[in-house]
Amino acid sequence: MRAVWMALALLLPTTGHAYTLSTSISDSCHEVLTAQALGVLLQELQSEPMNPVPNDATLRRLLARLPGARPEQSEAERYVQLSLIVGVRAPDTEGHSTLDLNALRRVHADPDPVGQYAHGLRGPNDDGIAGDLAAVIGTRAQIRAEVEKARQAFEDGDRSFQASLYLDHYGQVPIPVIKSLYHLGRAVHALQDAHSHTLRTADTMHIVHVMNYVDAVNGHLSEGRDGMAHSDAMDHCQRDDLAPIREAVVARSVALIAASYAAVVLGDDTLLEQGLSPCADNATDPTRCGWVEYLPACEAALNDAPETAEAVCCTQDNDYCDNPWLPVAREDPAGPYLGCQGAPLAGPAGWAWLAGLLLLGLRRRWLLAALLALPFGVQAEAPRRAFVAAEGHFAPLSDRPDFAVLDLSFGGAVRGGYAFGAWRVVGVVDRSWFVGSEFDITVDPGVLNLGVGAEYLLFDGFIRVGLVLGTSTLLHDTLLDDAGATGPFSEVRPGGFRWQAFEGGWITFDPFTVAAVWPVVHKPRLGKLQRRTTAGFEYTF
Amino acid sequence: MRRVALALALAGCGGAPGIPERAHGIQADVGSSWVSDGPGEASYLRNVSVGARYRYQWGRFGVGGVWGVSAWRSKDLDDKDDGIMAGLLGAELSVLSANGRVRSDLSGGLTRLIEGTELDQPGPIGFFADVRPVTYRITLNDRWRLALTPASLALVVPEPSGIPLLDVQFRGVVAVEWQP
Repeated sequence: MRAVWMALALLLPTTGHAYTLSTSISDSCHEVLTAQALGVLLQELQSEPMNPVPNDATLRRLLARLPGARPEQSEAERYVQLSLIVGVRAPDTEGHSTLDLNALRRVHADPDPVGQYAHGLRGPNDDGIAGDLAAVIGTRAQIRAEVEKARQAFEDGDRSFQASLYLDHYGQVPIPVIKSLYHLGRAVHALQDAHSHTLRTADTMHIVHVMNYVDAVNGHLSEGRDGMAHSDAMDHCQRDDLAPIREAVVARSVALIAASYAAVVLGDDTLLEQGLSPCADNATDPTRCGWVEYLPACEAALNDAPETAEAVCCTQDNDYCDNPWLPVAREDPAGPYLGCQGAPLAGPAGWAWLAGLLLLGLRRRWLLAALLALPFGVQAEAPRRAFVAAEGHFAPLSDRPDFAVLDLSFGGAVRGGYAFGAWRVVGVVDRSWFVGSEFDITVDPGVLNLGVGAEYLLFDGFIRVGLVLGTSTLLHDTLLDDAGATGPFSEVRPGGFRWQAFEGGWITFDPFTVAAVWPVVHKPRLGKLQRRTTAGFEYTF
Repeated sequence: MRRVALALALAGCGGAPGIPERAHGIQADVGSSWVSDGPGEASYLRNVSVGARYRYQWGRFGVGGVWGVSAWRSKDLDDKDDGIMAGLLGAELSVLSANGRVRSDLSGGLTRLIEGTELDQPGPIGFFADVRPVTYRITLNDRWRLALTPASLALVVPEPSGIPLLDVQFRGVVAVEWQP
């Protein structure tokens, strides 16, 4: 698998700038910084024949359409790139959606300090100045551990490892990746986060303070004890005022990858130890040493004369030694998502998030309240036979396990048919757009659904129930499938309201319909179980 | 669709409940997300809720109290299956239509976490909301009715602090109503 590591050299940089993942609400810092680091290595490594890509149909389809890959890159080169990027993303997602709240809780609110060190953050019990040092030591240990796992995987023949990658509309997709590169990606993630989740000296050489996420998000943070709250602003690698840190991250990521190559492939740990140790006084290239080092004078005081540490170290009282990055680090501090601290509800912007979720999912409540004002009298009119209807639908939420909570789709339909008493035969042309949110917010063309079915009118036409069966056709190419893929479609309407607006004209409102839309039925399946809210107008004649 | 057909059949057997000027009664219900996924990977009965309600009706409109317990499957820190259970206490607003044969109601209130995963200790107070827009009421006799809600939405947030513990539940609910 030496060739696999050589292939890192063939990956060219893309523009981009950390620490954040490519999501619908953040830029692709980790992915792009890593790719940029690999590109710099192009001049240091030589290419060798690539190892074969596993015979996995899903993997091959993904590699053929891999975002950011150059057209001339071979499948094997793309496999290398994918393995590394999946590893870089893994500590923040562990293969789950960035909108899967339950998974996010397990990943980011894990009280085990090791889980925090993987992100260059303090553990919940890393208090005071000593907590800074503990977190720095823990982060270095995490980097070593991941490189050691990479070495172990390499020595075991570097068989492919089944990782999980979350893709919009598919959910978690098992993907084989090169195990050693996956662990290298995790090591690179920790190194990069050790720059955005800490305050460093102006020359970026030493860490003076480590931030705290778990206490901040739980609303229990006391800065003097727990450290500064994690700052979303520090994660925005494209900021001009963070350029020196960004440059240091890229340089040190290059150095870590090169050092890991030497350690894993050549069995030479010299570069790795140099990187994870303090720089010697005569060090000529500061990017090759001291990647994650605490302020030496403070560390010495903590170890030898703890009573003097307050005077020597950087603390809140001295603005962390008048740290130049402090103004940025004070921006956008992490906090409880809903502003709740286990106490009566407070209301920062986080409430807007849940309010939005409630409104999206429960806007039916407001519609329902408005509709309650409409007459609820039993309605009857002269028998009519044919009908046509136009309607729009909206489906914001998903209750699917291990899936994004927000899974937005919307669209409309034209329905028409003929009534036989209270029974109706209906034909449906339904279009549903899918909103992607995992890597960026996109409105995808979605699907075209065609179906036929039956409806029944209850209570003199006031309530309508129905069932439609048909086909669902994908209208756009995805990372894994082509437009035109067709699968089953069904829609169950368990109870919708009809109000007569004028003779022959009806306003319809279905608070919940259940539409099973599955254009791709082979694994990994693409489709949705949409809980739609639907409103429309029907004309009978 | 089977549930709807059953409701239709039962509706044919029972008379219309009607809308009394004033009435009060209690209800016991059980609900579940019957299916939470698509073909081949379906997740059945991912959550179960049981509850009781007291309702006072003025004509079409009603108010009441809600008590219940909601439990659902989740994962622990090692990604192994685990369970979460929350107690619910709240209030309800409802309206009858179709001569008392359809009820629409909205309830909400507080939750108390009874059992959580490793991340959560029992005790935190959260909140819930539950929308049941179409419930079919089938009269069994003078005092008893069967109420079928084929589709409802409940949002249960038993731990609102930090990264909230939240469960979206699209449920079907079966209830029995008793009126003195």
